[in-house]
Amino acid sequence: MIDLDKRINPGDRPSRLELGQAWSGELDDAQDRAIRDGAESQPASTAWLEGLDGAREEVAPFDPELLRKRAFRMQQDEQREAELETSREPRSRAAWWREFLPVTGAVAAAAVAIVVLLPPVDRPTTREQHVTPHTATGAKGSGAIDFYMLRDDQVHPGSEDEIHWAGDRVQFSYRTQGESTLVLLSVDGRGELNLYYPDTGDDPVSVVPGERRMLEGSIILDDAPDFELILAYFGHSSVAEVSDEVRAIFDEEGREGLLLLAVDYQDVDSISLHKGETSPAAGER
Amino acid sequence: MRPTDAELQTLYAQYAPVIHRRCRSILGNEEDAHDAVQETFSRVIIHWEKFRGESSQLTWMYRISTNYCLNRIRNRRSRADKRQVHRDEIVSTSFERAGSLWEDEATVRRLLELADDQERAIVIHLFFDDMTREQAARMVGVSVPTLRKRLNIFLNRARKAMESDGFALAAGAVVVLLSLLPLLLSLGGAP
Repeated sequence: MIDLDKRINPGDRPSRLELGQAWSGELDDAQDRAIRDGAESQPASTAWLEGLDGAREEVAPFDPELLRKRAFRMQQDEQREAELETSREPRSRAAWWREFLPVTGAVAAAAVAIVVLLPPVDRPTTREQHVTPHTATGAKGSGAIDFYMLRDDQVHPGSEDEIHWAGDRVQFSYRTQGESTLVLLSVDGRGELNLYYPDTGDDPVSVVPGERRMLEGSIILDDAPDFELILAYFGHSSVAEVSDEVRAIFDEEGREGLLLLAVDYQDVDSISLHKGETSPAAGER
Repeated sequence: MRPTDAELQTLYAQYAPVIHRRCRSILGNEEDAHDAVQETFSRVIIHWEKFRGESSQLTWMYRISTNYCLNRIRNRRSRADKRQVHRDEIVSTSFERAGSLWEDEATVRRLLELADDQERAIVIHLFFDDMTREQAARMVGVSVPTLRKRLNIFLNRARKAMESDGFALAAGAVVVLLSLLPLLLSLGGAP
């Protein structure tokens, strides 16, 4: 039971921030001693400190490339937002177009030059062009997903062999060797792309290498017909990149192309759900 | 100016476990905690010059990771996809979720979804960071009396939401709120 009134620190013990400062070696000797002395008689504080020792093993391996890529994307996003803000600022009606004239001319000229002078560049849109990620240790990464079903209030391990219906709830588990990111999305019988993890943005969700783990949350299948093909991309750094590839392969080769992609490459896994036409009544399934 | 890999690695060894453990406690799962660490260190790269000048680098990282947690909580609240994403999972997402402490944290997490960002930050600092009222007020940038008022508003809103049909908290949460009443009553007391 929570009793927040009693939980609020009256000042008789160090906060977890202070414990973290002591643990990380940020404090000088006198400060460090004061914090550790204050924690000594407080079981929760000492447990937190011990937990920090254990957390060393739980953090993802240090991967500077991943951090720098993310920093780069974040900075780009911030710049775009700043530009957007600037463009929203009111400007003089008479003169606004003058600002753009030289820029527009230069951009148009550059675009023409690029089209004329440069050879066409293929985007990675086919299975053969799929770029597999590498782990922080340099090894080719891999990952697998599995799922649980909730139907008629019964939870059971999912199977691709059975028919699924609108209203079925699905929760995913994953296991990965060395990869620390995941993008999970699906293509359904209407050809629509649905992004689940992450639910928004371009940054994949973080995952923990090692034993099998459940993903937080679940999805409810809608009434899209025929199939729901779920794809998990491990170790990729951009949702847009993944979505582009899935869209391109699906447009070119259909569902089979995506299934083959998951067979050919260890960093991609798939779950293919067959959808029933009309949902039978409970108990008749 | 950017940090070298060696500089980043030293900071990572020094601070990543602290940020990870804190954010796992606030957000309730490993994945978000890992992501919070990645986000925080990416921002260290972007703001390297400023970061190096901080008297407490961990305090700076706490602020960054608090913002990340607030965003995550906000996103959880506003998820509205073509398919409904449920907060309550079919099976447990953690192998560590046991015992009364977990129940407390899980309930506070759900109550946080009702709050605005300032209230969330206050509750995070008081409940998850174990700060005093004065420390939490400093972190959020408000006075202690304001902190008390904001906490009061949060608790009232949580109680009202539970009375309505819109927020189906577990029965255990009722007990939780009832146990918060002494705090509510004490809010009118000395600053």
